[in-house]
Amino acid sequence: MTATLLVVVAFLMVPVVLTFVGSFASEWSGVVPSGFVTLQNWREVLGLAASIGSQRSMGWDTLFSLGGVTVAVPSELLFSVGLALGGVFINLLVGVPIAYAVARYEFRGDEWVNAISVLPLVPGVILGVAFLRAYPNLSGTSFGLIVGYSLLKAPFMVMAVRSEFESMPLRRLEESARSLGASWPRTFLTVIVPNARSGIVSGAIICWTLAAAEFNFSYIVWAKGTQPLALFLQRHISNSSFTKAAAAVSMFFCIIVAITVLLQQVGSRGFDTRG
Amino acid sequence: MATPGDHPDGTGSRLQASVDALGGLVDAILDPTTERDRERRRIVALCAPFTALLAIAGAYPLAEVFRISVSAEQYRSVGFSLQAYETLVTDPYYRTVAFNSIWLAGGTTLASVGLAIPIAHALEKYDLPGEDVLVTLVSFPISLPGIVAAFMILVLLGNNGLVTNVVAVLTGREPIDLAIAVSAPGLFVAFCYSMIPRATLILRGTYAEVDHAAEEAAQSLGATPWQTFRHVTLPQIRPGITGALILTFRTGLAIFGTLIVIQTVVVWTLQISRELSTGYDIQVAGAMATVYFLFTFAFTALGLRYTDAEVGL
Amino acid sequence: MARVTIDSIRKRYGETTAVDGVSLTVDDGEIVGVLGPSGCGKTTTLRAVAGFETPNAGTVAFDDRDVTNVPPENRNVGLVFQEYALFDNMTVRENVAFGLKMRGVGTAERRDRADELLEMLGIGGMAARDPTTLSGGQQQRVGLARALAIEPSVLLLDEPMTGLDAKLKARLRDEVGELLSALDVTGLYVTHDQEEAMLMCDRIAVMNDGRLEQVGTPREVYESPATEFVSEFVSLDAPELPFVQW
Repeated sequence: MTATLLVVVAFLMVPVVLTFVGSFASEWSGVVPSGFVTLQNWREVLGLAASIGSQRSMGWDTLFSLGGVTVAVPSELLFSVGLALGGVFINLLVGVPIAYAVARYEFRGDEWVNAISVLPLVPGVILGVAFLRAYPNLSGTSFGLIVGYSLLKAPFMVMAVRSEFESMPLRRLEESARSLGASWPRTFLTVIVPNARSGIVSGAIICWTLAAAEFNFSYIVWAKGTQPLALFLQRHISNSSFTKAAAAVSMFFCIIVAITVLLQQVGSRGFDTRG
Repeated sequence: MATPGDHPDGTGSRLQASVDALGGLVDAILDPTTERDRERRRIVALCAPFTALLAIAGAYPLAEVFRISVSAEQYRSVGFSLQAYETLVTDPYYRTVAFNSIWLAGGTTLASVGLAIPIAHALEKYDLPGEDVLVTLVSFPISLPGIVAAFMILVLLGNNGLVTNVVAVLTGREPIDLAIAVSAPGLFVAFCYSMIPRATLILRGTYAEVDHAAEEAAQSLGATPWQTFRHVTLPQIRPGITGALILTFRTGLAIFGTLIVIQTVVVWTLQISRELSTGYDIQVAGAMATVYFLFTFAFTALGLRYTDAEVGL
Repeated sequence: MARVTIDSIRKRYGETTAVDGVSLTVDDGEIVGVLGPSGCGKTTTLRAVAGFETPNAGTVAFDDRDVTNVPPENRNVGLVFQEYALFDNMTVRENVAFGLKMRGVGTAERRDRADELLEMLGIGGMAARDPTTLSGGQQQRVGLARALAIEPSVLLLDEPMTGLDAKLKARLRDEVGELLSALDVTGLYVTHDQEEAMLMCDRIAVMNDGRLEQVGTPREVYESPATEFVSEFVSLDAPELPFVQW
């Protein structure tokens, strides 16, 4: 058992480590990469050094200018961050209420509502085709991507928030607040939601990560302009030199690691959304 | 999550009763008098945003896709024709694609769940040093998209891959002959890279609910560890395993990005994308999407209904 | 405080009848204990008074005001649960002041009233604490202070002592009993513990299977049980302890 575990962990992690190491190499053609240490791959990927064609690196957008100091960020990164945040915003609006309905109340069909809200109903590719057909002008836009992400990632928000709700004495909390004179909406917003904040925050972080890394749906509907991060990665994996692709993927690892650390800070147990 | 419940389909009188109940429900929501009415209104309000998203972003687009797939014209939804479906059924190419999808997803599901059982067992049952780290490491790939999983396999098994080159050095053959990343076995491994962590996550949840007292009782009665597993633990985790098989199979069928990087076997999702990129045959793509949706919906519903599966994720 | 009149209420859930024609009057300033085994309908009765269940038949009135269909937030009832149900996102003081805030009472006054109540309940030093850091007994005092802060028409206590250890229970019982009679609270005290009911309540209503078996002073119920059930339920593991003082 333990041996299986260790072998699988090695299988999962060795390529991750190798990729990260390789991203600092200038050549990778033997057993291990060679020509250390160079930052050229990272500079090219992040758009700090010139690059062309399908190996094109990230563009840079001005985030803000303040008293002569201009802060710029890579545009693909900014674009994906923004899209994923939009998706998370919708996830919060739709996911928190339905998680509460399922966790707090008994009603006819509650099991079906539960099943529909936590099972990913459509995979990204199918949803992409459906969007292209139903909203031909909207599907490739930021708005289309945000709406698509929010539907695809909603189950993760519902799961995280629902398991938090299930660990709370919901009925008693609600009844206490209402007996003290708080209307039901006020109870929900000032007592229930703040008490579930750790589940809501970790759900938001999980959804954000998954939306920022979304590829399948984006690939089908994306038309032109700035690429979502996953498409940018795919372009490098398919077209760039191995070391440069490694740098692009490593950059993505860094984001994931940062998010995982953040998750643990808010007290969640990583991607384990069970209570 | 519980399985969808028993809602026996009604006869005429039941239907009438449902209609009356619905009328009563509408009244109750619009003008609540009792606390139960107010509660119903709250439930409706809580479910409304999700329902709206599901309708706008899910149901309507899927309905449109279905509509074009049975349209008599290629780019406009008019009339009725089953030509796209006829193509799917009669053209042997699509049968091959369907077959590829099933065996690839099915095979990798069995392999992934098969590996996830001992992993979950080790993580939940043994007091391993650095267990938190191991859990984090095993969970890490869940957040990686398929394209990155494919890249990981290139790093291991590609022309420059670590395993490829080690084997080449040991056997004295050329790495290029040994690289299997861009082949069916390579794809199989890439699928497993994405699916093992997901299967593990589900099964850890199952293991967490196992009754330890029963296991200890069995051991105190002289059962060996294997007997304990076979007769006490396994019956308890079986519903979780069935649930993991269903969910992991769904994951396997939905994989797409991996195939964009490692294009060796054409499966259903990749073919849908190809229908759009070469010639934009939205009708066949729509028919394929419809078939996919109905297939996964049917086997999930049947799986949850007619097996003891528990879906904990 | 107010007089509470429960008039022949009935509550059904599908096929089962939880409360079947219960009538009970709690006079202004009186504490009535509702005593009975689990599933006898006592909690449903309490919830009907609080407004979380609307009875299928019958009425609930506070003084002369019919509140049967009034939502709980407009009834002005205080609730104390076994599970405390404190708001973890607020300090102890904010918990106690919550009801006053809902009533639009100013910040300074809310604070004073909350501190006064906490002082009265012997946990004045805890006002700024996070409620999760308090002991069970302390949390229950906060729950009581929170319910009393709104000066409720009626205070509803649902097994408030269950789950506390015996020694703490005895102490809390004495203190809370004195406080409630000092404040002249109208109260409905639901419990399955007859000793608790007899010590804390002016009158006791014994329920079984959704019906009222007997209503009377603790002494009446104990000395002349009206039905077989009351006699069995009240004498069960007959504690002579509480009657020493009589």
